[in-house]
Amino acid sequence: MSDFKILRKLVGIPTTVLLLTMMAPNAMAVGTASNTSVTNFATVNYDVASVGQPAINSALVAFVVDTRVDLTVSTDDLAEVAVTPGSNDNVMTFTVTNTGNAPHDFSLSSLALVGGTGAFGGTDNINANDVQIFVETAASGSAGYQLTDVDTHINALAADASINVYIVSDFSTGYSDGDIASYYLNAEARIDNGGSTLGGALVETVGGDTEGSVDIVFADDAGINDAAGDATDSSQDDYQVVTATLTIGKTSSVISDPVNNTTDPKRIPGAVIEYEITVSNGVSGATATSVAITDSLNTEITEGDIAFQTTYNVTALQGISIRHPDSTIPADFYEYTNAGGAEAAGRGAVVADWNVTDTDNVVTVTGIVLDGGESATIRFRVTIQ
Amino acid sequence: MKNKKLFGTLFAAVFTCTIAVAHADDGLKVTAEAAENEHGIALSMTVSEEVEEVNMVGNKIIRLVDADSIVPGDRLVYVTTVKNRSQQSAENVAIVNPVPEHTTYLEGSAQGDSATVTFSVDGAKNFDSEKNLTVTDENGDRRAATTTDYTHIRWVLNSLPAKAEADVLFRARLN
Repeated sequence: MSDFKILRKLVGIPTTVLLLTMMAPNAMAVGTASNTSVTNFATVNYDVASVGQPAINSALVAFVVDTRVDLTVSTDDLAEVAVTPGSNDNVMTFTVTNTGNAPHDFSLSSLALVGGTGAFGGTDNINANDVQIFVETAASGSAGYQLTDVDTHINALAADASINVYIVSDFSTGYSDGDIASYYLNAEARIDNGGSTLGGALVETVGGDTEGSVDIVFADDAGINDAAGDATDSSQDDYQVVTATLTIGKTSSVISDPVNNTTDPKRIPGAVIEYEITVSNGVSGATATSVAITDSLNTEITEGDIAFQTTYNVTALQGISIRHPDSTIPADFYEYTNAGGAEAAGRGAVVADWNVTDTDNVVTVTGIVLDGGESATIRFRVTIQ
Repeated sequence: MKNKKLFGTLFAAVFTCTIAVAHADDGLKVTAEAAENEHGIALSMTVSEEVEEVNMVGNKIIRLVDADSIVPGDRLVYVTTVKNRSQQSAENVAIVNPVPEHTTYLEGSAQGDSATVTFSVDGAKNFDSEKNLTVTDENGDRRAATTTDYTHIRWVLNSLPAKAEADVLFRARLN
């Protein structure tokens, strides 16, 4: 039958049927394996003068399934990978999937953005150090990047199979909170050479069919850093520097003096002065640990001496007390003693040793932990001598 | 007269018998030739790939090309041509195509002039219209068959006149 004749037939097909046919989904995770022969034949039975005749078979029609090269690369990270300045082995996680119909090796490469928009919306402004690519090694047996994941290319990934790929890199110190280092990961399908080395480049069959051989068709879509039909796909992921940004503020107020009591008290000998020191971590800041606050009152009291109120009665707002988000009631102040390591009860699950001291006109509080957006307030009173 | 008549009857009987024997002797050959020349039905088939292209004025067109570069997801068109090369009309012409292995029949695509199209989900044992077909699922429950369940397609032409030919076709997608 000539093509012309077939076309004539096609024209006669109702439009709705054609539309249905065209709307059928084209995306296939994986298909019939390359090099599969698909054959078919028709059989006809008929009568002549009401007498059944022997069935007749048509000759076989057959074709061989060619190699459809297709793949996807996507990042598994749902947000920027948080890194702290001076940290090593920060891991971006990607998944490479062979959506073609034959096994392939895959070549992997990373590319640092220079400026431009990151995967999660920020602007790239820094680069990481010692950027390396690793492939999940099945033998490691554990999800996520392991030191045993040493392969730097994907070897013989079967059709419809996926594997994790990691970009692992270091960051030196000196970066600021919010800095972004964005990277592309490109994976290129290669010939599965049957060995553990990376196979050579695939070459798409151009022009007509090569009879008797399996042709190669590049069916991949364009990725974020590659074109359609190049046997390559790509994805993007970001590192974002997250570091603590602590701010500290101090206020003082006169509570009373021996002459005026609490009415318009002045800072005269015998007056009680209350200090509040508030330390805060930025909203997007990393958790700050081992925060220590040292406050010397010597610069504020140039003459004479002071005495810390040692009654440690938080209800009376005396002594040294601390308000911290990890306390049982975060809005309340909790009193602390100076008896090293044996602070007063009432701090809920907080086990930190606050180490409040009041020697030499110096208040020292150590061991505070502040998550991003948290703040702690230290309050104490002194009496001017 | 009576004998003559009997002889005539006998002669006729012998003659008839002779003809029959003669027919039987080389009957196979005659019958084989009849298949080609008198009752001959010829069946041929093609497979093509259906591709969507955009023409010079920007409209999508569908073109048929040789099925020599087929990858999963491609659409195939199978056309079967039945020719009646004899001088006699053929009746109840039933053309059966298996849905090829590794492919899925595309719904609504089986076509044929004046042909009644039915489908089988049991390897061509039974044929019925699309809406009547059911299969047993893994839980043992009956459910309506879908295109992926079809194993064979059948077109029945009531008659194919002498020297006439007819085309039937269906589409499938390579899995």
